[in-house]
Parts: sequence; structure tokens; C-alpha cells
Amino acid sequence: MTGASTFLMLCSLLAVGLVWLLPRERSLDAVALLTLLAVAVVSPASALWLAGTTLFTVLTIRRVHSQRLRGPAVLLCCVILVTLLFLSREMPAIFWVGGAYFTLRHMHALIDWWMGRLSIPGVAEYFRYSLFLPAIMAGPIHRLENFQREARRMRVTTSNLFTGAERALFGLAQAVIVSSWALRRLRDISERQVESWPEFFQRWIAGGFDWLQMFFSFAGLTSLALGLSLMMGLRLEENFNRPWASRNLIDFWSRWHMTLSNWCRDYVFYPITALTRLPLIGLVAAMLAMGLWHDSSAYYVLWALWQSLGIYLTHVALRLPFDFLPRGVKRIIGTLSVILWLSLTRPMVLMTLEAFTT
Amino acid sequence: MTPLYENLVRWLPPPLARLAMVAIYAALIVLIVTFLIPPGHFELVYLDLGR
Repeated sequence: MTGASTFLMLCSLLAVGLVWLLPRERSLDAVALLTLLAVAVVSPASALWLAGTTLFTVLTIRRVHSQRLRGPAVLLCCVILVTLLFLSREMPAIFWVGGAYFTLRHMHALIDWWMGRLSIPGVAEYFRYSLFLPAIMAGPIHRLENFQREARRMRVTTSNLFTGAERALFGLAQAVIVSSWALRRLRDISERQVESWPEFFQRWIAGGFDWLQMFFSFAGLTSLALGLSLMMGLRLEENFNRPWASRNLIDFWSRWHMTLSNWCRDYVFYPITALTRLPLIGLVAAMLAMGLWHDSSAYYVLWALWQSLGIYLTHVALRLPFDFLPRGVKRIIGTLSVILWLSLTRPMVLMTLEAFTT
Repeated sequence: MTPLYENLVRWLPPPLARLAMVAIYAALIVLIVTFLIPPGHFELVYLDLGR
């Protein structure tokens, strides 16, 4: 972990203390203020970006009353938000925090308001949602309506405190001990063992380790965020649902980083499929959005195309008459195909990139 | 009652379950602190920090 992430984590613990010490109606305001201060200490530019876009989003929602103007206003806001996100990536000299997460949260609020699925939030209420420290650096991309409901209930109990603390501890252990220490050492050892192998196989093994490390780090950090939130009496959305038990690649993407997958499904796949009547276009667009959210690079464009191809082939395979196979065998084949496809992502994408550049 | 304690108490008498729970917590905290100093980097695209 970096010094910055350790600092933000310690500030999240301080936020838990604030929730327990302050009156309930003011505690989340104090957490929002602490969030802004903590982010400002680590990255003043990110604090400005976060506060600015939060105010801009909530004022758009509150000030645009005409139903006719909602669409153009949302479109303009989304273009500005996405442009800011991509511009931030063009400025690597600045240390940015959380932009990819809060940009998607703002877009969710704007689009849901446009569609009439969201009641108009108050300014303070929206700031409490947007400036929630445990979810700043590793998500989840929680939804406004769920946060509002949880904030109304806010069960600050000793049972939630201990259960949340245990989850946060296990999450941190998963990220620090399993991923950052054990898997990294195992990866170093295996990379030394396969040094003489063809490059494709070296990359294949590295690709397998990528997914393993990503799972333990990211699921661990999500558990940390959800545990800290529970210590404050709030239950945020889960991000993982046993992805290792996936029956096929479609099932995998509904279990891995669920808040991002759901976001791409609701705000990219459904609208584009509805517009074009072509689910394949919707699928490629959703995977491109997911890939470019990770990083604006050719690698992630090809990553998205590879995952789209995998999902398309899964759809085709599901229509084939495999009924003669026992259920257990189908399950094993399905799980193995997921592992194979995911671990092949890295070598296939790199090989394609090299073919294009040479 | 935390989920860990609920699991432990299925197999152990309550005083031993409490002891085992404290031992697990302590071991994890020691290991986490050990590996956090000096701080290393997560090479992780999902951690939106410094990119």
C-alpha cells in the first residue's frame, strides 16, 4: 500500500469515530467534510475536481426543471465529466484520487434523474453521497437511492461495528498478505522458473497471476470499504459474488466488479441495444466503456474486444446441444473455459498489439 | 457475535472460540503491520490512486 492509501484508510477509521461520537443527523456531514479534507491533503487537485463536479451535478439536477431540457443537460454534463476524467489521465504529473469512481457516480445520478428514476436530492444529501471516504479510492460505485435509504436507516450498533471491523480486517489481510505479499512472491518464483519458455506461455502464466492478484487485492479493498461503511451503520452494494464459481463468461461478468458491470449494463448496454436493436453493438460498447474506464489505452480497447468475443462465443456455445453431457461435466467445462479465457487475455492482447505495431 | 465467532463456536466451546478469535485477529494485525512497513505498491488498475 502507498502512504496515501494508508492515510486515507486511517482517515476512514477517524470517520467511523465521528459517526459514533456525533449526533446522527450531523455525522455524515462531518464524514463528507473529513473526506474533502483528507483528499485535499493527498491531492488538492482531486479535492477541487471532486467538490466541483459534485456541486455541478447536484445543481444541474436541482436547477433544470424543464423536462425537455433534461436530455441535453445530462448529455452536456456527461460529456464534461468524461472529458475531465480523460484529461486527468493526460496529466500524470498530478497525483489523482478517485476520479474514475466519482465520475461514474455522478453520471448514474444524472441519467437516473433524466429517466425519472431518481427523486431530486438535496445539495447536502448529494454531497454526503459523493464525499463518502471509504468508497473514494476503490469503490464500490454505489447508487444514490441505496445510499439515501441506508443513511435514513443508519444502524450504528455494536453488532455492526464488530462485524464491519472484522470484515475490514479480513479484507485488508486479503489485499496485503495474500495479494501484495504471498502472490507476488509466488509470481516472482514462477516467472524465474519459466524464463526459458516461449514468450506466449510466460505471458499466459503472468495473465493468470494478474487475475488472481486483482481478485485478492480488489475484493480485499472492497471488503475494507464495505466493512468500514458497516462500522458506520451503512450497507453499501457488494462488488463480488464468488467469481470463481462462475459457470461461464457471462456468469463471470455478473459476479466480478458487479457495481461497474451493472453500471455498464444499465447506462451503456441497455440504451445502445435499445437504439440499435443490435445486442452485439451494445455488448462491445459496454465492454469498451469498462475497458476505457480502467485505462485509456490501446491495450484496454483490445481487452474489451477480447472480452466481447468471449461473451459472444459463450452465447453461441450455450445454444449448442450439449444436453447429453452430465450437469457436473458441463459445470467443470464452463469453469475451465472461464479460467482459460481470462488467463489468455494478456498474451492474446499483447500479441495483437505487437502485430499492429510491427 | 461476528461471523468468525459464529463459525468458531460451532466447533469449539465459547471460551476457546473467543480465544481463537482473538488469536486470529492478533495474527492478522501483526502480519498486516509487518507487510505495510515499508509501504509497497499495489499494481492494481482498480485502485484509483495516483493515476
